[in-house]
Amino acid sequence: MTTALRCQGVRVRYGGVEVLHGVDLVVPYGALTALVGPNGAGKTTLLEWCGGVPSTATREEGRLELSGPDGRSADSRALRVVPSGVNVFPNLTVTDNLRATGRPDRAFELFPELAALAEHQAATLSGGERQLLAVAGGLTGKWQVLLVDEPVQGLAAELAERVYQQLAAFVSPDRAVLVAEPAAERALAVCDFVWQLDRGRITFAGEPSELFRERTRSPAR
Amino acid sequence: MSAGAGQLAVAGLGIGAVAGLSGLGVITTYRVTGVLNVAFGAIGMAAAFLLDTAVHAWGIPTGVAAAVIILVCAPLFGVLLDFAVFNPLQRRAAGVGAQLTAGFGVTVLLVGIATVVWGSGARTDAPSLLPQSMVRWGGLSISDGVFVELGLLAVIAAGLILLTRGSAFGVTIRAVVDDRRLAELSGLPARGLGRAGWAIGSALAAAAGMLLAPQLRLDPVTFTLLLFETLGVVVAARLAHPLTAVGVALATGIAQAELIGVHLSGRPGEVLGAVRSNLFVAVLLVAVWSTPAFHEARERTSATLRRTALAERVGGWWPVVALAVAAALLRPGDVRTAQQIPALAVVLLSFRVLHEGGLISLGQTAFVGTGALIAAWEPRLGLLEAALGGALLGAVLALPVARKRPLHLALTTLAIATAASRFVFEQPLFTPPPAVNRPGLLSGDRAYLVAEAVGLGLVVLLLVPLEHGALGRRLAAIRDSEPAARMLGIPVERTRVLVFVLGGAVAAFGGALWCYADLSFDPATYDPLRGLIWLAAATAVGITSAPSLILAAVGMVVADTVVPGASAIIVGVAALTAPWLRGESVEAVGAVR
Repeated sequence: MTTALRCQGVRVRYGGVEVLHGVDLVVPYGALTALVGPNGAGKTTLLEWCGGVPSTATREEGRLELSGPDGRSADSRALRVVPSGVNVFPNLTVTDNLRATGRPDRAFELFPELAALAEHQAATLSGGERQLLAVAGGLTGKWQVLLVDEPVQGLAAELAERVYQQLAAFVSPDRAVLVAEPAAERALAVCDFVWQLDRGRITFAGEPSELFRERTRSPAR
Repeated sequence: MSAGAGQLAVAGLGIGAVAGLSGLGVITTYRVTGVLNVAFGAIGMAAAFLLDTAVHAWGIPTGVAAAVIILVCAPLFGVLLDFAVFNPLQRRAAGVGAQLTAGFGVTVLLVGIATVVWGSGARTDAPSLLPQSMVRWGGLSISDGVFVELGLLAVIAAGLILLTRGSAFGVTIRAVVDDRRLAELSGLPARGLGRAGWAIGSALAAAAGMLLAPQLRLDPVTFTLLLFETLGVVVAARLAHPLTAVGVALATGIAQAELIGVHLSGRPGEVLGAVRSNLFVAVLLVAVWSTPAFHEARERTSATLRRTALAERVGGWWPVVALAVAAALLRPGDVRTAQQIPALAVVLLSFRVLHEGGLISLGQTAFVGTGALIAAWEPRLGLLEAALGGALLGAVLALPVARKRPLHLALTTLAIATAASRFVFEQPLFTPPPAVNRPGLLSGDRAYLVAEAVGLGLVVLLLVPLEHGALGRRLAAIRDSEPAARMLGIPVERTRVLVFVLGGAVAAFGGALWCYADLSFDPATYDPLRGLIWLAAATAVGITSAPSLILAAVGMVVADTVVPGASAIIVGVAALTAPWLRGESVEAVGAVR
């Protein structure tokens, strides 16, 4: 598989605390990759570092390589990150949010429940509705590599399942998706490859079935 | 409307149009960057001086010089500001306080450079960009220039409205304004838009400065402040609505001109004169109090990382002890100079008090000047009465705005300081006797310096419960997350008012110390620009470190003793460079949310 995104030696420090200790990670094209790990493992920090957004970190280092499906170096515009928590523009309507981040028509097709909220201001939506809006905008936007932090946070089980189905459906030979999940079971059921991050270090890389076996052997994990 | 009133209204349109133009520049920058460009007054001043030099010294035709300044120099300067100052701050997720301080750093620096290059004297022959011909219309003589100014205003306002409405580009702009960080993650061109916003904002500030200069006296400080006072139209427009800004600007310009036709005698006449000269200040004051809320870009809660400044490690009490020792050892002339240090140190520590409550004040001169004024009028118990007066003023001013967001609060303090300076400190009605007397026991210079050191020690002592104990924990909770603090039942507004009261008392106490050190009351000492220099200094050295603030006071007084006015330039440079030299400055101010 062609590599879409490669992080090497990522270290992030907040004051006297280093939260990522030299993380190496690869996301391939044509696969749904999961980054799993407990709360505080550093998943969000890693995704935000990849996105290169303003940060309060006092020290950041590491190397990020983006490649196109043809193996050649790709522009940073190929990368999209959907953060968790604050992930919609609150003063814009649902439609305008989708116009800014993706395609409203396509998003309404994927998630018809958003169409009913089209003219609502995003600030008035519930937590789950905002999450759905963020994921829909991310999915229908322009990207080759999509990183989604906790894609189903606050969503009902049925909707969470549909979101994962759509994330998997958007994967193609020229598109790569990585989801960061604290609840590993759900991600492992649909993803093709998994990285496990714990206390700022990668502790596992492989297929979901291998991680299942490993977890069964050492249930404390 | 009589012909006279009509003619006055036409005259007011000119000033109103310029205020509208500078307001549109500030709104443009704010809408695409989320940063309030408080340096616009200084940019306009610098552009006006540049045009004056280009035309009178270099012999370049006015139109060519103006076009080059508006279309090339000013936009490039705006891009430079974005590249070197504001974008790095935003990349570090700096808060409102750090951004405002950087803007004032630019202001102080430009004013300092202009004073060095062009001198502090006023020029009255600034070249006019507008045609001087007149037309008769409806019995009125109207300058063609007024039509040009109004046309320019209309075109820019319409362009701004069209850009942010409806179109896909408009949605992008609104998304970037709403949440710049999320916009970058979503692949929107936030950085490019930011650069364009600074370029357009700077060009409009330059145009406003060059249009205003021929109508007023051009000098670095007063002209910058006059242009700055038009900020009221931006506040009235809630930093977002171009048409409101234009409407308020034109209405204020006309009202100001119409007041020329009103004549009153005696005390009412003096009050009317003050209002007429400072109507834009009155608008600023009314606007900050009456405007419900600005559209503020979403801010993130940054980690409140506190690092120990070098001075903090050395120990908190030594500056106080050193001052007391200095009182015994210094020569008489040096004692008089040294007396300014504790006074300024107390003023700088008042920022520390406010910072504990997550507040930032752009207008400490209101409190400092009030303290000085009370001390000047009341020599016996002036220090005590000044502190009480400052506390009372803090309570009265904080109550209506305690619920407002940080930027709104900061602008409120600035409006109050400007109004206090123009309507109180500069008015003959309030001017104290020229010779100020100290309280009896402190009439000797050395005794007074010792007393100041003791007073400074008391203020340092006051900071202890603000950082530790129950009140300290409550303040830390509000600083870290206001919504969470509310959920926990912490009375945010009441605590905020308490901090305002304490900050006001400390600042006014510092003002009283200052007044007794100088043995006079000089309104120029309490000019709002001075308050911005103090804030920039406090931020540059680390607002959380009491010893650093005291050292900053030493440095500023010594610098001004060696070269008068040097401290302003040093502070300007320090405010711009400190966040990059020392990581903690941005974080310390970034915590003000």
